[in-house]
Amino acid sequence: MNRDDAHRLYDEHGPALLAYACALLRDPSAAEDVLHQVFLNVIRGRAAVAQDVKPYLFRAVRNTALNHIRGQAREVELADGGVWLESPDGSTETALALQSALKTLPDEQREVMVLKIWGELTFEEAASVIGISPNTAASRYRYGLAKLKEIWQ
Amino acid sequence: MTMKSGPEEFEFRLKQFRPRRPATIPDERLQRLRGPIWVAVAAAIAAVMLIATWMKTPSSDQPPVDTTTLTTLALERPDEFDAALARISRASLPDVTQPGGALHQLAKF
Repeated sequence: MNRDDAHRLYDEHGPALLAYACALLRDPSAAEDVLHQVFLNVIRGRAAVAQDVKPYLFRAVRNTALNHIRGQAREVELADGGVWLESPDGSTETALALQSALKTLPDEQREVMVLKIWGELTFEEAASVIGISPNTAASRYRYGLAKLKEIWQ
Repeated sequence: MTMKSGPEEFEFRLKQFRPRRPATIPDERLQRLRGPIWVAVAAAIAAVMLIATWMKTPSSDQPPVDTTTLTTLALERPDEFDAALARISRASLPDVTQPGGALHQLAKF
């Protein structure tokens, strides 16, 4: 994959991939570093991009983010490090409120929710990214959605 | 416009939020150069230190060191040849006569 193709993919999927990395790491700054690392590897040809590009990129972000977490001696509980979602009315407060609500969800539910809603992946694709069955992904999504609705509204 | 209810409506509301755009990818060529830049900086520092050390070394009379000059001197002016060899040895060999030098150490045996 050449440099222009990689940049095109970054423009197209960058925001959703960043949201996913934020959901995994809960630190927008570290999430952006992870995203850059993934794309630099793609540009340098260190990563063989699969046919199915979109799920591949989400999987690469997941693996890099998990490596990042493992690399930390001890995961520090992070405060709200920044806004990674933009509210339709442009309100930072609303965006932060949703982010806080998302943070209260169990990791596995939050992960599927971000993949499905902002990554726009199907349950099959989300399941392949995480390495679970599509039924499990759908179930986590439903539970997460219900819980988020309860917390946020 | 169709009316949505329950989870679908909530899902729709969530989708109205958009993930923010990440910063541009750092220039991969600069990233690639990061290693060699550090090597170059380290080499430059080492060179500067070497030059500084060399400049601090006290200068001595520059004896004739090339073999052609020495051969000419040996054939034509043997006295000057001896003097040149003495200068070279003073400049390039350790002073064995100084206190604690090799001769003093050997004299103990």
